[in-house]
Amino acid sequence: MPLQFGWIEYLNLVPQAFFSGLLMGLVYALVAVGLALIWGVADIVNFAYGEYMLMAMYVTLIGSNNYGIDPLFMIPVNVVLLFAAGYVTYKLVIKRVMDAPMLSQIFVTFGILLILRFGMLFVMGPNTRSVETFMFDGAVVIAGLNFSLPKIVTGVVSLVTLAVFFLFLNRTKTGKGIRATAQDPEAAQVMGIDPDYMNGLAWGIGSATVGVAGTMVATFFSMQPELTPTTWTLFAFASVALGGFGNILGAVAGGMVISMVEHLGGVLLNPSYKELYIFLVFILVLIYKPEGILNWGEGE
Amino acid sequence: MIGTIRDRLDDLPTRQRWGLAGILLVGMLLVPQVSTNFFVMNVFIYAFIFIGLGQSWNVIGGYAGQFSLGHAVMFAVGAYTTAILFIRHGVTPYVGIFAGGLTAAAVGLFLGAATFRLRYHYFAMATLAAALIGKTVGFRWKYINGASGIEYPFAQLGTPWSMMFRDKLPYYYLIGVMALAATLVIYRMDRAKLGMYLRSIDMDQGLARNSGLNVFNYKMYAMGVSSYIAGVFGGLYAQYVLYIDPMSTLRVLRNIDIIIVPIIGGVGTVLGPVVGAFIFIPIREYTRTGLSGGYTGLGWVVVGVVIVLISIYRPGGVLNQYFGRWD
Repeated sequence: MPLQFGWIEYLNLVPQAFFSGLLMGLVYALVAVGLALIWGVADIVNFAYGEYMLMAMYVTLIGSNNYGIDPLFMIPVNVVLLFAAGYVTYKLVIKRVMDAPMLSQIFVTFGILLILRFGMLFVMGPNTRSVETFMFDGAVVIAGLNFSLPKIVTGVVSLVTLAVFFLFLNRTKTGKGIRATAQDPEAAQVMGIDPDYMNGLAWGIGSATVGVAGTMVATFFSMQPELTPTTWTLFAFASVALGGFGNILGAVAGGMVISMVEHLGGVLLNPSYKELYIFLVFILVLIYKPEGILNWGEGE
Repeated sequence: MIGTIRDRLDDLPTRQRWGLAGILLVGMLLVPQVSTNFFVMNVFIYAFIFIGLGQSWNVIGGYAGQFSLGHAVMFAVGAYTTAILFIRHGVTPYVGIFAGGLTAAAVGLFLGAATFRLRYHYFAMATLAAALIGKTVGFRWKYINGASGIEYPFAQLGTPWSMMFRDKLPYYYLIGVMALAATLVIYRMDRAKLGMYLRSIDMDQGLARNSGLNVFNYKMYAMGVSSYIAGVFGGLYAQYVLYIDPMSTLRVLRNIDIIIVPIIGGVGTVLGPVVGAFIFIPIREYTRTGLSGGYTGLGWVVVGVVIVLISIYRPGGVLNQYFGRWD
């Protein structure tokens, strides 16, 4: 790739990419913890995860563009809606394949993926669309670096949501029940924890977190039913793989690293291959260290 | 249930069993006599292509129990090899499709060597990552024309060695025979030791290894066979459609397409992909044309509902209920 600048100017881009990466890393972490929670507790990989996120993005779009409700106020709407979507999915479909062969467990979420993706394609149309107004539009300059205001707000909201999420898991009785089920479902059952209830909750909460992420991402990321979900599902998978599967704290670290790979890779190497770097990291981690390289904190 | 269909088939004398197959075969040969309607032929030809792809996936995903999400890569490698050999180097596709099979097998073996340590979800996700890498490369690689794809020269249409025909009938017979050949190969494998070894790996890999089976080698063997078939049918697809691009060969849905066929029909059975292809392809083609226009995508919603229902009520496919595999 021909360099357009001298290398000194080129290196000036690195701090910008680093801090942008840090900011986006918070969102990636938020997306990843939901997936890790569902995986860790219910032991099922949700390949339709990105579709749930897109659902929140479209609800935000409709609320904002059609009814003039600011995306920030769509967060509670999406939390409730996505919690319901996740919970219903578990009760209606996933619950029935919990004892089925591994093959059906993997495949059933593909069925959900097709229903949601093409259902949304039917309702919303194939065009790329974006949210038109947001109360924090614009950009700010901090210490000589440019940041878009929506991204900063998104970072803050993600951080707050992550804090609430971890407080819930660590401090409340229900949260501890969820963690116990993730660690050892049988032992948890012996202790009087209903695994079915916990699985439903994990699906609900996991979907609600991606609902928050979807709402915020919709403010600066345009959406298309066939491309957007795949991108985000893969970001989430890569983050979770990096952090060690089912390890929720690891997923946060994984999300940060994946964001860094994307942003720094985009600056230091060819930017049109940004996604490729993530996939390469993803497959290499899977092959050489399937238990995750950032597997610290509470493991399995 | 009084005996499964498989038991009943096994009880049949060999001559009658082959007689049954013969009747079905003659039926397939007679289809074009009844109707050479463009749409009907198209559905059958796509069904034949997907029988081949379904058989290919079934070897690794059904028999060996490794849920591959990256078979579109081998399909695409076969398609591109056939097209590039023919268009740029003048190699006839009658040789090219088998060369495509070989390059696909090479790619498959490389992928297998990298990922066969993994099982279940981990293997599925590693192959999905491989599929996405394949897609990204397919869209950017200049040698294969990137996103604009490769078009066949229509000047060659109808010349004897070009494998490009003016109407659907030759495709029907050619691809039909290839689908039959692929099914026979899998039938042989199913009855041979390899089929048994792969099934035992699927059931309990640790036990198979402790019994002295070289699990990795047999998985690689299966991957080679599987990728070769996928590559050959990729070549046939290219010859039929006469235009290939990353969107049609490498999109993420293509990987799922291939899996749907054996999952609907019956995982790890010889006839599963055949049955699955004749269920899935008509649904897909008819909903695609019938529900087109303002209803884009509704056909896929229907397929999604079918998948969810099958996963819940017939885990392992429609046929397995009667073939007694998952009980």
